[in-house]
Amino acid sequence: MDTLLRDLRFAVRGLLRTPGFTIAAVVALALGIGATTAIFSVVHGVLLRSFGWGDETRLVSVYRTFVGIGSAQGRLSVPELYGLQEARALESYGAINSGTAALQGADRAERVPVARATSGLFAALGVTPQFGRAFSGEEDLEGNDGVALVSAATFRRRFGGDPATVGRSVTLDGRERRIIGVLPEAFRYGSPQDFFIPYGFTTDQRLRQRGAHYLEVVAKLRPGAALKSANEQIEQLSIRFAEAHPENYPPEFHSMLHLEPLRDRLVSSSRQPILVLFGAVLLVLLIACGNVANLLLARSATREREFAVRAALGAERSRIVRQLLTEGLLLSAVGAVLGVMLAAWGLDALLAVAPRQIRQLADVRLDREVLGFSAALTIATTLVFALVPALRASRVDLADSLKDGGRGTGGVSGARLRTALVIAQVAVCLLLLVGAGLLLRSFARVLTVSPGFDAEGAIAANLAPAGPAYADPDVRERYFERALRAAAEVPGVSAAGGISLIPTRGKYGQTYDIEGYQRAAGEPLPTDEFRSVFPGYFPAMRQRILAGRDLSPADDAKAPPVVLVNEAWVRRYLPGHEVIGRRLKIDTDRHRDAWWTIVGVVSDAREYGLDEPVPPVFYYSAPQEPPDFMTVVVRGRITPAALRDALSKVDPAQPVDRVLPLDEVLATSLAARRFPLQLLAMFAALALLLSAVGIYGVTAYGVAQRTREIGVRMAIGASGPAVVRMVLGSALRMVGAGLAIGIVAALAASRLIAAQLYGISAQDPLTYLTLGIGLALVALAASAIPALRATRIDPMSALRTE
Amino acid sequence: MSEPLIEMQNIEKVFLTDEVETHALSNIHLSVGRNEWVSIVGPSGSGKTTLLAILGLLDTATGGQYLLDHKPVQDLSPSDRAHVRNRHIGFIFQSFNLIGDLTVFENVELPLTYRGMPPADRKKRVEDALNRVGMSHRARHMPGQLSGGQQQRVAVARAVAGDPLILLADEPTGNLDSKNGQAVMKLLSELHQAGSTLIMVTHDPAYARLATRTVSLFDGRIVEETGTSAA
Repeated sequence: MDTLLRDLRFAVRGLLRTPGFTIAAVVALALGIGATTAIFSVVHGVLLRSFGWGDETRLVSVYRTFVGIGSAQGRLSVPELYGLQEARALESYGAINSGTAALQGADRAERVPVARATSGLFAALGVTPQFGRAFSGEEDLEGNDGVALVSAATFRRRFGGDPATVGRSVTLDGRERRIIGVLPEAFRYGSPQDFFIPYGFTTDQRLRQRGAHYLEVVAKLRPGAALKSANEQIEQLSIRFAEAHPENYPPEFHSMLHLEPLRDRLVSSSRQPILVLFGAVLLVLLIACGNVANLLLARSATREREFAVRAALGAERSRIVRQLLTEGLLLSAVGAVLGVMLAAWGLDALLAVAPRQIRQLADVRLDREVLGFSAALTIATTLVFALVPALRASRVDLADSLKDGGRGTGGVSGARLRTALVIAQVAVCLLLLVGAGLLLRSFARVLTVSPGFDAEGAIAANLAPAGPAYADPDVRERYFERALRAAAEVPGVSAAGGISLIPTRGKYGQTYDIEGYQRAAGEPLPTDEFRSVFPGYFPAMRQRILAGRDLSPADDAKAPPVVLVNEAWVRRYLPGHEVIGRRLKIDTDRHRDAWWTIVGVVSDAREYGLDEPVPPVFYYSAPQEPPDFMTVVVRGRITPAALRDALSKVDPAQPVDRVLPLDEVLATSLAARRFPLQLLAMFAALALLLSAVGIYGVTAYGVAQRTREIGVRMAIGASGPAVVRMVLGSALRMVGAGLAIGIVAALAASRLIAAQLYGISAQDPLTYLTLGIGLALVALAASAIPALRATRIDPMSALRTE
Repeated sequence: MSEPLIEMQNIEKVFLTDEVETHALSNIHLSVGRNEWVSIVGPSGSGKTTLLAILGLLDTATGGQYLLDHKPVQDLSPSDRAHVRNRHIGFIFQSFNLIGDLTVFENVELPLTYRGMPPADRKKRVEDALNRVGMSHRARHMPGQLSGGQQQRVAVARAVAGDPLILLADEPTGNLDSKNGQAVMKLLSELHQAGSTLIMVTHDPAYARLATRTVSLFDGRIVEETGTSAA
């Protein structure tokens, strides 16, 4: 301990004596450790942290595949959920669906996040309310379902943490529900919810609605049950379902139930992008370590005599290494403290721009485990940057170093090591630049894609009327029509319309048949996107009618059912054919197995987002098939607030939600693409900065080491430009080697982000070439400063040194 | 004639650089007895410093045998050599080689810390050593705050603090003016009179004559010995 304290004291003194070195090293480490800590907190929060549900190894997700129609991760229907009781491997199971509901007070309503859940969900997850109780089996059913559970956060925020909240009532979607329990603080499933309410399954849903697959199902395996055998059991169960209900499971659908670990299910879509980012930030940390290692190597060269003296006085090699590692650890520790502060600040910024699609992101924080990781990272970082310089420094030539006027600095192997470090930095930097460059060019390509509508100057607002008053589809329809009239009457509005789901906001499919379309052998009935459209929508969106006519107010409930189709639909099913007048056989609530006539073709809109192909879509006339919810779209010189006011007045008890300019809606849809791009671009910029500093440092050190040689060259007639060429030549050889290695590494690693690219190859030569040249220019600029300084060396004073 | 502390037989040192083979020392036979003061003299490049480095286990001979206190030391591991240097050899360098980040006290204490000596013992030894060289009043100063002569006295204190078998001094006055040089030589004389064994490399014939014996080197060979031999 005495020795350690002495080493620490000397380390502090030494670092304070060389503030330039210390600041450069600490800043590099703080940036590297800070960025790594911030991204690790995301890795930990999303991929690693326990969900707090007890024995996670027994928790599984139950999902369905319809391989025949390309559905890979489907949900279950209510009869299928109840059918799981036959699976003996499952101890308990339950369903959950996240959504929203109108929380209605005496004078205002607001839309809040609400999940529907069954009683079995809480049993499977092992969740016990902190006050009150969870749902009972009876409360899963219609008639007994007038209850709610409140989340811990909502309990505190809305109810002041008063335990008497249990027993009080809230009105959600027009229905009064009694709060029967408060969920524990740690419980969360997916995004945060304010309330959990039962589904209230009807008898018809439980027994007959086998084709409505919408339940996200979670189950807990019995103790000792292996996932493999449980999966076999569940697959047998789905075969029995298919045999018992062939009308719901056509053989060509290849329907099958499966189990997978719940964690895999919840984080699988986020895993690769997050790990790619984590890999990128580790590379930045490596570059920072390279810089510090280079600084330490240069510093050790100047301290060679000190190490020789220590060795001459009896210090063993390990003792010198320990002293230097202590100095390195001190640097890392200071860098880590600053880095964690940076991470805390950066994490807030990072979460602010993070897309909502990444589940569990709300759980991301700098907690004890993350800080533990930072501490371990600090030690690992120290070993990476300090060990090699320490080992080199401890291997001094005592006799030579102790001579008065001995050479005592660096030597050839030290210079080679510093050069190798810079080559590696340049290579890693190019790797990151290429990754960011490819994503940036993809993003630029996406932005050039027309959405198929005019987002500028239009505003959207969501309406989802709820409550017993709106249970009747006709009442809903009249509400929507009043809302559309109110929107159209707002001063400044030039066009107004409504649709069940605007582009980029989700998917809504239906299976149907097409008159005159010959399916291939084994091809199932088409399942495509559908929307319910109110007249005025397409003009408001500025989508063109390419053939036939638009939907009109005359296409009401009494008129023959009609649809529009988009261009993608025509291309998919009837290219080159006249489609106006063709019919679709669709089974809807209002029109059982009815034939709907195509009356027009509308231009394509990017339904799934700018970077996804346009799917085939057909559009009902809304009065003929009223939707449960509607997005109003208005165009004109108005503000979102004016639209919200107008719509709120239609029924003050109903919330008006997500009132946003359409270009903001589009921007939100690109968040999942923008987020990794922003982070990778930030890391690449950091890598570029650190690499430039590294190149500058090594070149400047090289010039300092060659002062005498440069003096001699100048004394015998070397001109300034010749000296500059010599210095830049050395730097560019180093950078050239780094670029060559970096290109190979980038080509190999680019496949990791290939899935996130759009309209560009992972081996896009322009990106590689541009960034390679750009990096070389930055390196040239970084080397130019010491090169120009070299021309100012006074030959006489240089020759006097030694 | 005192008991031999150092015995060198047929010591050779060859430097190989690229394709050039340089014989720095050849056929060196040298014995140094306890409490002897030996000066090594010779022109630049004659091998004085190389011989001193081999004597101090800072370098290894290419051939021959070296016994220190009757024990062969030429084939010791680096760790054992560090151990021997720490316990048995004290160094005084031309350029003092004090560590700039350490105080005078810490510089003198440094070899004792490598020895694993308890702090209280270290403190006593350091204070004694600084008293011997008259530098105890500067114990808390940094080397940069001292004159050259004072720095060399601190270096002498560091060399003697561990009570080594032998003191090796490489041009101890080379970086000092004549007044400070004489003061340091007076200090070395006092140490010798108090029982220390000294081997000193010097260019200065006046200082060389202070030793009990002078060994002259030329082209890596001993060409002359004057004074009383220990062997």
